[in-house]
Amino acid sequence: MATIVFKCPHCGGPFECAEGDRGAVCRFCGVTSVISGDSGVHRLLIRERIDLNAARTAVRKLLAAGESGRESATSFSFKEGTLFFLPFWRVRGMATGWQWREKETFREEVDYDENGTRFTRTVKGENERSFSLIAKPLDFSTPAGEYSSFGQMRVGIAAAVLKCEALDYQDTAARGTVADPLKGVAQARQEALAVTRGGGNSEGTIRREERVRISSEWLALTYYPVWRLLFTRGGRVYPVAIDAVNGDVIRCQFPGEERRERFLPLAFIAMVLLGWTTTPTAGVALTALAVYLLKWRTGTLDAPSIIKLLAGTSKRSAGVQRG
Amino acid sequence: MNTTRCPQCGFKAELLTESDFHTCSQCRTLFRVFGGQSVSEQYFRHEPNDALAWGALIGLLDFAGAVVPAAPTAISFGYHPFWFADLDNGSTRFKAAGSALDGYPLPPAPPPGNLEFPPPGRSFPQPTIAPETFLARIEAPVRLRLLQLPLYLITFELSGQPCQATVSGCTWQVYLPNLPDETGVHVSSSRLLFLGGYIALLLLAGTLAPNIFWRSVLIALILLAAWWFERSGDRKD
Repeated sequence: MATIVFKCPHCGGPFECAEGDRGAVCRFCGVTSVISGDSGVHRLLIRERIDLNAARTAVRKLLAAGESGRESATSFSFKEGTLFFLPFWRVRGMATGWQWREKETFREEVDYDENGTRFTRTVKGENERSFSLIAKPLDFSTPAGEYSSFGQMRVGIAAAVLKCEALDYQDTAARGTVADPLKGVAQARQEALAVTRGGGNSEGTIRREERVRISSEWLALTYYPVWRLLFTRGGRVYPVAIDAVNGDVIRCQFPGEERRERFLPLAFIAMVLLGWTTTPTAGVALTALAVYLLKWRTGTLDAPSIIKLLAGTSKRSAGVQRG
Repeated sequence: MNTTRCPQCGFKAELLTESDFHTCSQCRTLFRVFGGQSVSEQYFRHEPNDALAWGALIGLLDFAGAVVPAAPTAISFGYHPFWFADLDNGSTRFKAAGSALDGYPLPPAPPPGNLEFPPPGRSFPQPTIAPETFLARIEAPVRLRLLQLPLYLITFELSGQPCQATVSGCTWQVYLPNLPDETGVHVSSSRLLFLGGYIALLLLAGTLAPNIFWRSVLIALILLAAWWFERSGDRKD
């Protein structure tokens, strides 16, 4: 946690407070000062570009493009929709520092066995040590919470391209739910630095020491809009997440349509009973015919398959899934 | 004089009373102190709707390809306390603070949403797991919060086996352990009743018909009627 030094507005004496503190007492004059602001964290908003109707249409289009097409698109009813503003940490700056690595090396040596046959063997060489300075530009974005129920979003790229505006909480909260960041800035920084270090752990590295920090840091919480819609069918509820900027359906799990044999099972039963209520010979003949047709239809004669067909157990076609 | 840091604004507040409850002199937030550790309580606002929670669960089961209809045994909605700590190294810890969730799958992290401080007069279930127990293997947290999550605890039956699921009231996300394998053939009672009636009618028509012509006609009519009945039933669903 960083320590910040302020000048007392009453006596001008310097006093310290920890990052995140909202109040401090001046040790010279004893006056309590309230510190406002968010310790340098900008709160930015990417404004939604599609409304609820457009979000619904995006889901209908996705369903219509599925295997069951129009039938599937109309079978789901829209229930409700909520706009969420999800916070993402954005860390920009220069990752600077140093890295020391010790790497083991191997070389191949040619040798001959007692029969004079030539072979090569791998021999461990001297360890290789290297020291490098790191200075990489950093632009990193990570969710400030657990958003698996909303699917995956690449907000880092979006925030770099789209127009961001300062977050007006009252105005934004009137349009939707502004989610609170649950991941701290320290964790976001660590993740950003981990990305910077990524790839440095090459094969053969046995020891590594490094000190990397972010200089010229610029921190922001970018709030990204996502629609959460609920669709229903037959008492079942299907939540859908839609990117409120480009209208992409980022997460949904719609089951496929149920397919059930309706006529065949009834016809088989009728055929068998017609035979047995006429004469035993006709019963045997029509039962044999029914068994043959069943084998042709199901491809097997095992009892569960036949019972499933006769009982009208449904099969489901492939559903629509995103995220 | 004991002092602690306000979990909301970070102000170093002096604990003037012996009570567990204190008000920050700067931001006026009411917070609790457990064993010297200040804790703020926050909750996610939610209007309970058991039908939606059950719908979310069977919707997921449908998507997972469950053929057998699940039957609910019990659905109970409630707020459940969870400890949530921000640690000095930047990471976070999240754990159930009560025992009411024993046996139910738990959310691995707090859901996204608007966290609010409980309004005056509103009480939530209190933790049965002390913060010292939660913080036993954790170095001093920067901030400790007690989050009240709206959760639906659902007990249901699938393939004759009892199952438990948890549905989040914030996102309608379903937390479900591995489902039991669907074994055997499952036929609904309404379907069995329909088939029984159909066979009985066919037998009646087959035995009462005077000759093969009328028998065939009657059986064909019953077959067409049953087919029409099934199609109309499907349309209603």
